[in-house]
Amino acid sequence: METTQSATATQPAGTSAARDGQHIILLEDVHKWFGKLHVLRGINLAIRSGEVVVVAGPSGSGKSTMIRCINRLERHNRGRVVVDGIELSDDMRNVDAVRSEVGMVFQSFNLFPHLTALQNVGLAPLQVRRWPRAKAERVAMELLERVGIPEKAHAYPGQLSGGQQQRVAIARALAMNPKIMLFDEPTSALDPEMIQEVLDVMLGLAREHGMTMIVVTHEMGFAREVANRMVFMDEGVIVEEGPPEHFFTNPQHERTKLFLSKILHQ
Amino acid sequence: MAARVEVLHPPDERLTAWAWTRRNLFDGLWNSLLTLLTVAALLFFASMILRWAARAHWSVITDNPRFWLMGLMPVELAPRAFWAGGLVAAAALLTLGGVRVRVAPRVLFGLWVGIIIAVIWVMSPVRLDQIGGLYLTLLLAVVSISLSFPIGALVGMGRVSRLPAIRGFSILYIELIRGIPLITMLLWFFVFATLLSGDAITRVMRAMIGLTIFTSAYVGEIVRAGIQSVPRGQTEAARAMGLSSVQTMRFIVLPQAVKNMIPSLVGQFISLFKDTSLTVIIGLSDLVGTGRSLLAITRYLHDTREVYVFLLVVYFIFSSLMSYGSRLLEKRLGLGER
Repeated sequence: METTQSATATQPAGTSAARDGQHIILLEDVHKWFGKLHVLRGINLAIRSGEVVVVAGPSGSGKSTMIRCINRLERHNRGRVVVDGIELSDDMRNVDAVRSEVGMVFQSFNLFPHLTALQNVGLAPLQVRRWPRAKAERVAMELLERVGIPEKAHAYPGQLSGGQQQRVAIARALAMNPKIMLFDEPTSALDPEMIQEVLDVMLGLAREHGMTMIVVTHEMGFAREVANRMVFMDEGVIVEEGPPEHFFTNPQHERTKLFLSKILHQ
Repeated sequence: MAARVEVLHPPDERLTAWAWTRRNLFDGLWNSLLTLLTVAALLFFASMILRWAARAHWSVITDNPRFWLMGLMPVELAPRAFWAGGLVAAAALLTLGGVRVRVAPRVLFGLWVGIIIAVIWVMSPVRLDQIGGLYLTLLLAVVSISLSFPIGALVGMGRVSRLPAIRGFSILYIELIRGIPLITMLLWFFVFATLLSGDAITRVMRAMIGLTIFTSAYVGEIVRAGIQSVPRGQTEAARAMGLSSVQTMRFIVLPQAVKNMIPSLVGQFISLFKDTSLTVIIGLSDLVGTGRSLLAITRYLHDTREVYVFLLVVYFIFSSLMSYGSRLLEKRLGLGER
């Protein structure tokens, strides 16, 4: 936990953090506009390898947009985004290089409905890594075992429950053997009784594999258990960040207190 | 101890024929009256048509089967045309059966490539302008469909391209063609081709090119709509995994889009098949042209009704075959989606 304090405030002008290579993800003064709407208003965030960061905040605060800038599903308009030493720009080679190192899990699963679970997981190794089919399928099967549903390998997404679909989606994101995993509200679209099975898989990923993870979620129990750092966002800026024990027991800002009181007393 | 709830069979809700009739046809006074009225009208028209059909002069059809089939093609070439037609019909039947029993698409594709090469070889001594009748109608339809599908797919993908030049050209093409009636298009291209190359492009080829240019624009719009019907999240997930935009199109977007496109595509192709009859206007003797030239013969002068009823039946049969094929294909591609 002692690492997190030093990582909190990175000055926009100071690029020392990028050069020292300690940080696997670095956002410096990142701005993003949707038309006239200013959704990210100067985000500074530095994340070390193996860190689990949970991002919380009211809807419309820019959480999703921020993590979508990390694998350039959104293009930032100002500032720098550096992932594992590669700065994201309009150069597609850099973008592809970053995307092969960053896995992403979406709120609405986004599994490919015309492919089986096994094909969903094996597609990227087969087409991007150009592995032989047998190897891609073997690795896909191992990943499905890791997320606990090898028996559903030949089922289509439409035949799976929401929790199972999201676990397949996690396996699919892991198939490219990424260094970083981004989770964009992975449990928000799930029925209550299926949330835990997905959280368990994520927990295992953080604890056993030391994966670098950024998780946008409202599951505060999960955050308490695995997060190294909490980030609270509102209106396009990071309002407050720190280790979860401080964040939950002793929030500094009014907006954080208000948000926590709402979300913890549901 | 928790009692296990018994699993029940669904209740048997099938009706006897009598009960069904009562419930659906004679349910109350007005419904019964309507049923009787409809049945009476149906019987009346059916008897009228049958009485006419029994006395009609079908000789205009039965005496000239070769003329209806292939128009003014020289007699010595006719056996070749029969062979070619037989081969295509056999391939079509095998394909319908093959789609049913789930033969691999690769096999069916190979079959068609083989058949097409065989047909081209068999028909090589026949000039395009010698073909007429049903053969010409089918030839125009098949050639225009198989050309306008790839061209339309390219235009449709161009329509959603990120490159402004390609997108602009595609939009211009689609909007321009959709603003012109097909007849105008055929007449215009007929004249335009003469200006370009004199008589080098035959009339049949002009019709094929005109129909293709026209249909490609509509296919382009169908392809665009199909591509855009695939949710954005699908593309995002594919790109986030590291797939290139071409790979995303090929493995994720198109397979899902094609399924959504099939009903509209088949509709467009059925419409194209029927529109081939408009080529009469540039002097082609397709099925309709053949009928009209028969009507010009003194012996058949008064057989207008027979000829047009026959045309109606033939077009209906082929259009229904196309819809049937499309339904089979949709069912087959629906695999895996619930």
